Amino acid sequence: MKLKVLAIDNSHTMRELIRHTLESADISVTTANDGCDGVAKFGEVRPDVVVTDLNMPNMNGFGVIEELRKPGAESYVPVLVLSTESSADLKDRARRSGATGWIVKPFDAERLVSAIRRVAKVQT
Amino acid sequence: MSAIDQIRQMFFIECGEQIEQLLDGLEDLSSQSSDGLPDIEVINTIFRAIHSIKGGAASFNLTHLTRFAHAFENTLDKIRSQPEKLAEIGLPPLYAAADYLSKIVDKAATGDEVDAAELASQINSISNALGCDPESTDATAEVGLNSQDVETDPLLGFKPMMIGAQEDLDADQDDLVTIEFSPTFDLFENGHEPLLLFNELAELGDLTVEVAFNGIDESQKTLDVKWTLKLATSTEERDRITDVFDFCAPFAEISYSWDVVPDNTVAEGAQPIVNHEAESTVKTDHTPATSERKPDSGKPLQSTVRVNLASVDSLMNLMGEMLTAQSALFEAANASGANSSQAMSAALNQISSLTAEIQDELMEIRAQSIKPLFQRMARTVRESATIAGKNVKFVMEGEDTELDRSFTERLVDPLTHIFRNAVDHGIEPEDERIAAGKPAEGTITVSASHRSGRVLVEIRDDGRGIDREKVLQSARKKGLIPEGVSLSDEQVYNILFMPGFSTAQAVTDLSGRGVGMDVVNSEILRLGGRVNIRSELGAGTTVSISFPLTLAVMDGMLVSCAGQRFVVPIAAIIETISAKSTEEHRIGGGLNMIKVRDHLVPAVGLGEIFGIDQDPDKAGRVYILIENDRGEKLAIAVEEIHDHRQVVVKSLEKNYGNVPHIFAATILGDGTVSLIVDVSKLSAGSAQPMPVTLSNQVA
Repeated sequence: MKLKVLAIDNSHTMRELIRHTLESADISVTTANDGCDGVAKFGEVRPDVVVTDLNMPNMNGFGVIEELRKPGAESYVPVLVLSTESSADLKDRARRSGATGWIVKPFDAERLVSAIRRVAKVQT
Repeated sequence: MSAIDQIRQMFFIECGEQIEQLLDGLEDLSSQSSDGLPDIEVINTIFRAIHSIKGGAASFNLTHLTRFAHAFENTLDKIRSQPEKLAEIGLPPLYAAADYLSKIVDKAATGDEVDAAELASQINSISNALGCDPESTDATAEVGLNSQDVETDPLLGFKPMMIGAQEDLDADQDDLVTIEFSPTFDLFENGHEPLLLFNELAELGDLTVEVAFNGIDESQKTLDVKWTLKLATSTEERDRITDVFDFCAPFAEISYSWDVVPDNTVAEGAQPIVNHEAESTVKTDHTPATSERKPDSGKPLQSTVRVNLASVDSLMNLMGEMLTAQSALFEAANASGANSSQAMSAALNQISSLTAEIQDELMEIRAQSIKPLFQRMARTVRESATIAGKNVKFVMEGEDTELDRSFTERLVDPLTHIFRNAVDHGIEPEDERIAAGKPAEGTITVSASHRSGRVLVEIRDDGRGIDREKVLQSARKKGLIPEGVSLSDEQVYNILFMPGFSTAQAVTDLSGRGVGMDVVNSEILRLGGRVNIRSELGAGTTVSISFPLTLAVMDGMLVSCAGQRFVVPIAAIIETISAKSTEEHRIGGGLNMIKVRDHLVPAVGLGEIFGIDQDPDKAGRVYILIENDRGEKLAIAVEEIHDHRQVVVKSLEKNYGNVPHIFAATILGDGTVSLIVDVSKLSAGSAQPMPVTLSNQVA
């Protein structure tokens, strides 16, 4: 079974870069173009790992994480933040919201793949 | 094209969209009341646009773009946190930064060099606007500012992998760290999995794991478990080890203690043999904060797909071929009498209505709002106004008007020229305006609209207007107009389009460098368009440009004259008049007039225009009443009107250059070539005195 990743980013370029990178590593990718779209797609695709940007319209990355970690959501899926930001404050906020990890943009292709494989509970 | 190249191309398209949003945002801010605080949502949108450009630029290692976007973003971030600061600096620095951003995006797309000094000064200006450190925040190092030093993987265009678990295995692993790890129930609810963390640790050295499990209560969500992890590693890995637990920290108690074996090869005895160090013990309650913004359910999600423009172009070409084939089918059906069968004619009609529908849809796909072009012109106006030291407001109207994509690029040069003229020659200096009782700030308005199958773009300024007498004098001096000829206002303004004419008193930095309105005119003509100037001295000038919705297909009327078939664009035709139903008047000097509803209209034979038929008295004439681009009505006599059809426009320019009164050619259903008449410059005087040969062999 292929690993399923949901990538949430409002930049089309970034979505396609992530898609290209992960599909090259034989990971299946669903993309969403903002937080709302991401939460909706999450319900549809039930991904193994979520990769989300922070700065997005309609619902930002923190919103996504909190939505997925909401009591009763029962979804313990790892969520990686993929952001150009790297300030300690934001990292701390992500950590508290329930993010599983943090990757800085621009991402290194192999690093992104290895980070995803590392947190994924489904080992493929 | 490789996948990465495609994504790169997409990035530049997206940059265009982001810049549009950015400029829209600035526009919104400028229209908000100046006393209140700016709308934070608008600031956020602007911020996100710059942020996205930065993210993408960094991914493609576009260092200059990344650096500038970063500086710009910092300033925006400051405004985001202190909105009152915006009033302090005003919008001009932001507009200037947006313009520069758009400039270097273009440069990055074409691979042109960016002027390093200009980049540095632009970074400084936007940073100094609010006193930001030009390249502050720890993010800079990671967004690729130093990436020039890093060799780029040519395959991916990414920075090469910098992670190095494998290559460090040789490092000495004499040191021992003992980690005590007691997670709370929340840890598991937040997507963490201890086993994976331990696997990650194991990559850093030899790991032994012990666990003390004292129970779990799922209903209370409590857990009593403690892992003791002993890892033989090196102190150099300290950061990597704490990184492993970085994101677990809020949901666990973690402590580290190190047994450090001093390195034999380095200084002796200076370090303690054993160094017990409790580096950190963290426990944080998991208190979910509320999300920043709730879903915006009111906004419908439009599903779109990006298509390569070339494939749309080729679809359009195929559509053209299809139309040609269709008219061949119609002609064949007519000729064979098959058309008389009801089933056949119903099927033919259905085909023609379907192709028309497909064509409309295709046009829709090719259509693009004129807004990006207007925004680009806004930039031109701002730049020109700065150079000229004038105060100019730019107003857009009807910017959602759509036009064929291929026009946008080709309109840039002519429009740029018109706008520069408006700023440079139209809008007066401030003191002159005040003396004339006008507002100190000049206004240039650009509007776009659809009018009877054409796109109309008007550029209005409230400047000094065109001095009719000065134009006339200058034209006479240059020998462009004979002495003693009196001209209408319209005709006078049209002198401006004549090659070699310029009223500019001085050659300025902006316009008037010998490239005049004549170039604008010929560019627009090439688009099948027309330019018109109206002006009122002291009140301003309006330049109107109209052009067809598309260049690929045209609605035309097929007519014949002297044995040849011509296509007259339907858009230009007002009505057709049978010669029998009108009075023809012959006036001296070969000028004919016909009476149309009590008005006399000059008439000319189509054959006379092209010098192929000099006999004006041929029987059975039909007149086509047209209006040229000066608004003059003219009746064109033809022998026969065949039908109304869609024709595929094939440009002749490449092979024949500009042929007077010929717009292009088309291929008819039977394979013969027919010329499309350009009525925009036709007048009673267009008749050719000498016969000219027109080739029918146009490919």
